[in-house]
Amino acid sequence: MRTRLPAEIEADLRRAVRLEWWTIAWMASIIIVIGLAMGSSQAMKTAWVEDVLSLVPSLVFLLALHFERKGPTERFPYGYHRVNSLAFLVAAVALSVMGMVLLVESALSLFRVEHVTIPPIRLFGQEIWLGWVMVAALAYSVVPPVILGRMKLPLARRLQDEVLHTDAMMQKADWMTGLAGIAGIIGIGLGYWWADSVAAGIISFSILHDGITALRIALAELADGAPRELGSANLEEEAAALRARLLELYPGADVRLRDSGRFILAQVSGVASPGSVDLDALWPGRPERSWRFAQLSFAPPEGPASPAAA
Amino acid sequence: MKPALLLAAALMIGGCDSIPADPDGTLARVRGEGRFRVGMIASAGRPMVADGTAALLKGLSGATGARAAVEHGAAESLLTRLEDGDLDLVVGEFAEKSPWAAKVTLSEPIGRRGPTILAAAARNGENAWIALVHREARAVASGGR
Repeated sequence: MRTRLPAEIEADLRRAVRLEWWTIAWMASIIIVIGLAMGSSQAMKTAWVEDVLSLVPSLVFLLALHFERKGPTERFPYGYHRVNSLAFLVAAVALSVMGMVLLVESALSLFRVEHVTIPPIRLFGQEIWLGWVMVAALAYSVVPPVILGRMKLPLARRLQDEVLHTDAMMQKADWMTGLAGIAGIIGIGLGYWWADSVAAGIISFSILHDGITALRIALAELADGAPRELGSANLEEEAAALRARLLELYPGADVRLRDSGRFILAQVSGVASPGSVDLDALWPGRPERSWRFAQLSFAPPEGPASPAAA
Repeated sequence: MKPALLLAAALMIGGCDSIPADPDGTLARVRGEGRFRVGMIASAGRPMVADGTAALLKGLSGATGARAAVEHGAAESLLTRLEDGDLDLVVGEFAEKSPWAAKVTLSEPIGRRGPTILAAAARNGENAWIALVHREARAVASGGR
């Protein structure tokens, strides 16, 4: 299995690592700010829980990459490429849990007809409604995720990194809940006690949708499903084209493709190995992405054993 | 969501006085009717810390132009009626970590005796009224010492 990445991809990976460290730093500051301004608003509490949860994809990305870089060992003869798939599952679960928490919490507080109290507080000798402090904290919490998420998306595409992509979705969830929180607090300020919960509830559907999509891809990846498109449950076109090319070359063979982290592995069964193969030449998609095609293995046809085998 | 934010921005520019508002319009009703309903928790056998209470009710009257209609009763029944919106304010002694603090909104203490505090409770979510009660309670607390 070849796993050497081209120089541009290596550079992208380093950028992704830097972005993730920045994410952790910014999110930590947001967690502190929101924690201080939280009060008893439901949307604020959920925004906080969700900010904490949103650290998960960044952390597992860094962790997975650390392992992925290691070579195979005696105990892990295939190397650690699938740690990326595992990390993806963890990130997808985090995103789904966040959507679920948001949905359940907001439904419960609507159901209980909870009238949220947001009292005034004293700040620098001034009496000020805590709602304005919350709005300011939430406004701060919206900015970094928008920027970080947007920077991560193109990287995730080039790196074919589902963890990074899920992390970008997490950032989207972050800024959306931030905005929902602002709308909810101002709604409460206007005397609509349900504004907070309704805003959080609406956002939760979008987050849950992203989470469940990610979960489906992660499960497909771990269950040796055919390669999926980044961030969608659809089959990947480049992989489908590769399969068609292999079927053309080895008619009658059984051709199977699967993802292993960011790489594609292909197995051609029913054909004896033809000797050496140029994987890059076989890649039907854009040449700068041919690094993804990491392995082509052959399984000889089954039948009565020839004297050599056994 | 964008229209909501625009609306919010317009309201912020338009006037901060109307925010926060009460979902059930307590403050507006108090001003309109010229009366707010106060439940005074009867503390068995012990005299209330009366000064703080009187000062708070006077402060609230001054701020709203309404007068206090006071009745006395047991804590549980008064607080339950406050939750239901049959009272606007309950004044009395509470434990410092009262379990009622989640169901109603307690003001800053306007008096203290050992582990109990004298405080005013308002109905949850009536944020304009709560803001006023907090402000007046704070004035009493800082002026009374």
